[in-house]
Amino acid sequence: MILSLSLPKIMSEMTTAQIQIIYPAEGSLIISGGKLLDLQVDLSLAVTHDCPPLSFHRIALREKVWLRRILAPLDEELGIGTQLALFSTQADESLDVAPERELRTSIASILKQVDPWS
Amino acid sequence: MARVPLVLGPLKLDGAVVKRSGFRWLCVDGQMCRAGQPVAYCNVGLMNVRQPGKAFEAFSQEKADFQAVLVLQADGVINISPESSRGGFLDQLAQYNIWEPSFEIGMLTCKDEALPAGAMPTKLVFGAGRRVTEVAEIRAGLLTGWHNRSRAWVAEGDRVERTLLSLGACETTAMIRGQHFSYMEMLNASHVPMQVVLIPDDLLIPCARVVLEQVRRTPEQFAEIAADMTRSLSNGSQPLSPNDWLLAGVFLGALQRSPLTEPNHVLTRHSIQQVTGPDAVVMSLVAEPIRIFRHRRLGYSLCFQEYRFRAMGQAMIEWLNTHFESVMRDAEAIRRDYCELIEEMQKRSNVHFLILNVMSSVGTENVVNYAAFDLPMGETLRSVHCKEKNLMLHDLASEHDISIIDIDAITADWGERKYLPDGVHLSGPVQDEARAEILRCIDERIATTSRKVAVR
Repeated sequence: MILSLSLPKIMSEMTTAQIQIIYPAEGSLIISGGKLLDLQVDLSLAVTHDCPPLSFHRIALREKVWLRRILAPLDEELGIGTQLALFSTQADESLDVAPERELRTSIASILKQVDPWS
Repeated sequence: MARVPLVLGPLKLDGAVVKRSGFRWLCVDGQMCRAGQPVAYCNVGLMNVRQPGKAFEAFSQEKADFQAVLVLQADGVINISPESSRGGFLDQLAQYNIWEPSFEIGMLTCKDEALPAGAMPTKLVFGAGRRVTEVAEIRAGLLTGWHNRSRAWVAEGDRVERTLLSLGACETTAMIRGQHFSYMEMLNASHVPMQVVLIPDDLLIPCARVVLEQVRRTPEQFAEIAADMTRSLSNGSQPLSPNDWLLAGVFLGALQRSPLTEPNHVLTRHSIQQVTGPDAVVMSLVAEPIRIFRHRRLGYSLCFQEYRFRAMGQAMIEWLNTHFESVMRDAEAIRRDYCELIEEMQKRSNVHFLILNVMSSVGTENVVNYAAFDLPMGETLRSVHCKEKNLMLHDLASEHDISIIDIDAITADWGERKYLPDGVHLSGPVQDEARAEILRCIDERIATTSRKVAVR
C-alpha cells in the first residue's frame, strides 16, 4: 500500500513551513515511533507581530513503513498540503499508483536553537 | 437623579505649581459610563518655584509623559464642558492651565445613592512614562510612548500603600497594562491605593540573571561596560547602521538601570511620597529563555528575544559574535539564578516575588510514542521542557517564600487553543484571572507578614 505525507496545518496562523532535516534516507524502513523530519514554522511570514515567530515541530510515525521517495526540498517554504514524501508498507511496491491514504503521524513541538550567527 | 459636577479636586505639592493641559476625553458627550472607567485625562507639568527653570526633581525623568486621569467612581451619564478642552496642542502641552481644584470639566448624572455624601465623582490616577530617549515623543494618547519604565498609581488617600513592579515579557506586559494599556484593571481591582510599575522587555529581557546583575552592578562596572561597548563597536570591521547605534544605546541604557532597586516618587492629592523599592515583583518563566549571552571578558549577561537578530545589522551581530558566548540554561540553572536573585534582594528589602509559570501543554501535539525524541527529553520536547520549568518553580517555592501564578492551570481551564494559542500571548479572560491571582497572592502575603509582626 502506498501512503503519502502532506504538510499538515499545525497551528491556526501557519501558511507555510520549511523542512529542516529528514532523518531516514530513501529506502529506509521506519518503525512506529520513529522520527521522520523536523519542520520550522515562521509566523512572521503570516502575521505582522513578530513574537514569537519561530516554532519547531517534529513529525514521527505511528505505523511501520518504508520511506520510498522524498518529494519536497529542504529549507524552502512549502505551502500547507504540499506532498512531502511517499511511503509503502512493503519494500518493493511500485510507486506508479496513487497513494491510498495519508500516513499516520504524530506531531510534537520541539525545542531547537537556531544558530544566531548564520 | 443627582447631577454632580466633575471637578478636579485638590492637588497640592510643596515647591511646585501644578499645571495641566486641556482634557482629552475617553468618552463622548452624553455617554453612559461605568464606575472604574477612565473618562478624561490631561498632561501634567510641575513648575518648580524654588528653582525656576529647573525640572521638579521628583519627576524630572518623566516630565514629558506625566498624565492625570479621572476615573469614575459611580455609573452615570457624562456631559462634557466645552471649557475642558481647547483642542490641538493645548490638550497635550501642560503649561497653559493651572490645576484649580474647583474647575469643572463636565457633569455626571447618576443615581442619588450612587455616591456617598461628599464623595468625589472621580478618582484621580497618575500615569508617568520615562522615555527611552527624549526624542521619542509620542503624545498620541493615554500613557503612549516608547518608555523604559511606565507606571500608574492611585492618588487618593494619604499615601500609596503598595508598589507592584512587573518585569516585562510579552504576557506580563499586556496583563499588567490591561486592555487599553492604562493599568486601570489592576488599579481598580486593588482594594488599597496602589502603584503599578512596568519595565518592558525592549530590548533587554529581564530574566533573573540579568536582573541580578543589574542589582549588583556598580557605577564603575557600568563605566567599564560602556567604554568596552563603545570601543568594540567602533573597531568592528562593519560600519554601524543608524539602527545598530539605536540598539546599542537601548542595551547600554538598560544595563545602567536596576529595576528592583531604583526608587521613584508618587504624587497624591495632598503629598509627595518617595517609594524606595517595590513591595512585590512579578516575573515570568517566559522571560527565562534557554540561551543567554555572556560577555567573554567582562562577564555580564545579555538576554534578548532571538528574533531581535533580524533587526540587527552586521556590525551588531559581529559584536555579539566576537565578544559574547552562548550560555545554555536548563531548569536547574534558571532555579539557581532565581535563588541568587531572591537571596540578594532579601539582604536589601522585603520584596515578595511572584513568578508566572508557563502553559505546558501543546494542543496540537498528538504524541503516542516518545521514541522519536532524544534524551534528555526536556531539551527536545517543548511540553516536557515547560513542565520541567514549572516543576522547578515548586522546588524554588520550597526553598523561598515566592508565589507561583499558575498560568498553566488558568489556561487549561479556559482552553489553550482559543485563549493562549501560541503559548505566550494571553487572552483577556486569562489576563483577568492572572491579575486577580496576583492581587490575591499579594494580599495573602501582606496579611501573613502582618500576622508575623503582630505575634512578635
